[in-house]
Amino acid sequence: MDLRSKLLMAEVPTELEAEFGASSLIESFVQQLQVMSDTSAALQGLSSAGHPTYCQPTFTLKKAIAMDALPAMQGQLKVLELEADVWKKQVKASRNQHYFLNYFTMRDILRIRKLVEAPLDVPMKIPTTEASASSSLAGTKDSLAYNISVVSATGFHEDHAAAALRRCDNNLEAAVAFLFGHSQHMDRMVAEDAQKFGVAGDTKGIAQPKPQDTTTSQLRLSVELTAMLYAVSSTVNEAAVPTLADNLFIRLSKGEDFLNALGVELSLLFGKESVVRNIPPPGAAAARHAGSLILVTSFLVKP
Amino acid sequence: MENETKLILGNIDGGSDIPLFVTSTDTPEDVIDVTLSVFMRHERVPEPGEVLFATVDTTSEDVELLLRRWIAARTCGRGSHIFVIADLHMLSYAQQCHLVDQARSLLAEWDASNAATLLLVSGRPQQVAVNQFSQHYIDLTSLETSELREGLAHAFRLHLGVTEAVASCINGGGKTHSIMRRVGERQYLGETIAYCRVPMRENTTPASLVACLRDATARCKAADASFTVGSTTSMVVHLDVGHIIPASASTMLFELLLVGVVRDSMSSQFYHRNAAVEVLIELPNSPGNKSAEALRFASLLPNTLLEVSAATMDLTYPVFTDPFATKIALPAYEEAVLVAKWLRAFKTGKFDPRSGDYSPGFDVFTDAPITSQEVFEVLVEVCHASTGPALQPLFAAFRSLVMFLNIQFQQVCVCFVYLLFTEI
Repeated sequence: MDLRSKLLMAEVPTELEAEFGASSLIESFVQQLQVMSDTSAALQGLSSAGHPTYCQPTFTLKKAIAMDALPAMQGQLKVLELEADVWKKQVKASRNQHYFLNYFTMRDILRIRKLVEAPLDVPMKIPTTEASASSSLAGTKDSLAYNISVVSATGFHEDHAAAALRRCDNNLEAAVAFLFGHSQHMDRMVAEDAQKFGVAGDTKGIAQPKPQDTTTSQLRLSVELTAMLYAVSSTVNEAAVPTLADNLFIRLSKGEDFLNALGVELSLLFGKESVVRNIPPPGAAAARHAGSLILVTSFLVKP
Repeated sequence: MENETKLILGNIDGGSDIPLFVTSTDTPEDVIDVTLSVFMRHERVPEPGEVLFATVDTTSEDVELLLRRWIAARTCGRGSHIFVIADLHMLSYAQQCHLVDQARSLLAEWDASNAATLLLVSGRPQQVAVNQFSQHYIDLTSLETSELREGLAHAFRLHLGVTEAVASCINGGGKTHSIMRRVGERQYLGETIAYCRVPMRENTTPASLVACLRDATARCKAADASFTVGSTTSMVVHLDVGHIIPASASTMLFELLLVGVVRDSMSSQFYHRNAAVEVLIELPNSPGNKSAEALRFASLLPNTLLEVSAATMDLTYPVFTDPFATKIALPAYEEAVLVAKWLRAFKTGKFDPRSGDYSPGFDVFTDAPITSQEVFEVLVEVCHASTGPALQPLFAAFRSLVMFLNIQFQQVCVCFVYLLFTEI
């Protein structure tokens, strides 16, 4: 902006004007800067509105300034503005259609999406409802995979949990103490394990991803998602949360619109019944006290 | 009061075509009272998403979402809800204008047939939104403090879990000790509870509170090796409120303790307090009791007021027994006992050759037992002067004195042993 102001204020020598047409060059440059600034604002708007394409941290848009670049830039800006309008209408329609979406900001909804998509990072089959129900129980108690899931459910990264458990003979308590005591060195240990055992995060002796590997993600997903769902109602059927996550995952895998998918699943979970936490009316204790006094009085005056 | 209640219930239950009400209170501190009173009169606890306390961080999106929840509430069984935007004065002029526009636009789009009740509560007069909806203005007064306390006590007992404020008559009156001791005693009796301390300071925000609570939960779970997801091991949160607190401390407590959900809007992380989580809030003592007064919501909670007296003198000292600081043991407070015995010996003239009780072979370890009453009296005598700056004795001063003198007396013991061996 400062550069643009200075350029607009600059006096162009006549010889430069005659030789290069400097005024038209400056004008074109300033116009392109303005369009780029508008484009940046449009992109930020799309990002804050939660448009999935423009919320990706890896999203980049590079444009070179050239004499003939202005029409293309303006065209792109119009496309972005149009896209923003369409997206806003789409979000509004989804919010109108699915009441429970209105308990979450777009940032919240994107986080839910990120949580649901997280298992995609782990090589796994697309779960069916039946399969996911059984997979959440996979991993026998005290096995390394099970203990990794327990430790990582407390907030530690699963690779760190695996590395700590390997160094503590699969002892849960010792592993957690180890994680607290060696937090700065865990990444190095994970790298060492990756060299020694293969892929980081795999349990020792288990080269291929197995259902146990997904347990950690699913546990974390359930815990996080459950906490978020309590923002809708004081009563959440926690047992149904993994199913909700699975259903969302399947819908995403099928390419369904996430907003609608989430809206449908939330409606199924919360239904249309009102949840109310009742308490006695104010002054109830005083009323009870007065009532008992009347009772006592009537008893006393009774012949 | 009864007429007033009927009036408010009558209005809110559909006396107006558009179930939208605005009100303002005399001071910003009264907003919590009025908001609470509305729910208490409706004999229920606010549900998550029902009350939005506006802060400087509140966005137009937050406001718009609450309005959307309000306008279509009946379609999802939430017709009896009262959606409240409290602390309206915290919204900027532009945000209040946006609120008015949004409300009108939604009313035009949806009409009010599916709407629940919307209440805007401002802590200051002459707010744009209040003026714009002046035809919907109602004069709401809050319930008596005793009634609010009673209502909250019911809410915690029936739905939200144990919640209590611990205050003392003077700073250093043993609040931390008392809370830790309570947890330690219950752990000793075999209860599966984990202690965790969560500080609330000047720089505490909903985001940092969520982070602290989540971290505390993780520590408690990690400390319990037998933890399994969904287990009912309860957690006692010691919410240590500092002397200087953020402006939104009271509303943060409202959301955490009564609604049960705190949200970090930046990272979209949530903390949900379930009924198994007990919260003990340590209220600070500050000059003029300003901190406690600023925490209006905390002052309405069931509370314990600690006094510094011989009856409350404790001869145990809570110590953590695990690296996660969740398990507490209560070993005997030997240092205090030994120091008190030394002081008693001085007082009774055991080191004075002119005294009848002169005892050059005094051994603190074999000296007669000392009661907590005696310990208190002897420590008060050396720690507290009625003409001093503190109006009452302090356990914190006792602790400092005991730590200092214990080291000095240990040196005396070493000296005695040295003399004993050199004489031999």
